[in-house]
Amino acid sequence: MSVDPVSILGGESVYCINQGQLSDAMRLANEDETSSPRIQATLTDLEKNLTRNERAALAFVIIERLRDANN
Amino acid sequence: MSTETMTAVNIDVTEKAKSKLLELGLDDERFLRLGVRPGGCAGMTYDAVIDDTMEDGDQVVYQSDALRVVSDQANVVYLDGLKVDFSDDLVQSGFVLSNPNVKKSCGCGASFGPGEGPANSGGGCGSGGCG
Repeated sequence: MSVDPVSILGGESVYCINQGQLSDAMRLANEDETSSPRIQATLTDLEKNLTRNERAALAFVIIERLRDANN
Repeated sequence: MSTETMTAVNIDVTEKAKSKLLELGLDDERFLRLGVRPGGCAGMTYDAVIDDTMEDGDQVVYQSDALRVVSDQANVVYLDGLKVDFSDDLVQSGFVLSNPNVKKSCGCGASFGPGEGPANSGGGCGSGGCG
């Protein structure tokens, strides 16, 4: 019996980040007087307590929630 | 139906990818069809589907045990040097297709084109606005 072709690549990519967004994020995380210490402290905590895949899952969930939230 | 012929194309399928593909049900009848289609920021994106119907012009480009990889004549040129891998890493999970012979990729690596630089693909850029 013939089957419909089934993709194995997981569908189309979503939430690509452009260079400008990434540059702004790096500046906020590494150089901003107010935000950088808070972001770095949170990163240190996350990298200490979560596995690589858990951090990836957290990042995806945050991006998903940010798209639906105003602040 | 076409007559199956083995075409000399250099494709590498890692043991992990091979194992995962066989888990998906590839056998003597079902095979992996590889190709490219327009899409993504760099112009083209890989397409990889499980199929069981050989069409006129289809060529077997890789065979190892029960794993058979097929492509049509128009797409074979894009497959030389292709590596098929499987990743458990969430950042780049699932089947990963990469080819050092293609020369341009978009920022997220989902598409490629005949420009400059390496490329890999886990799918096409979607409405998220890649590149």
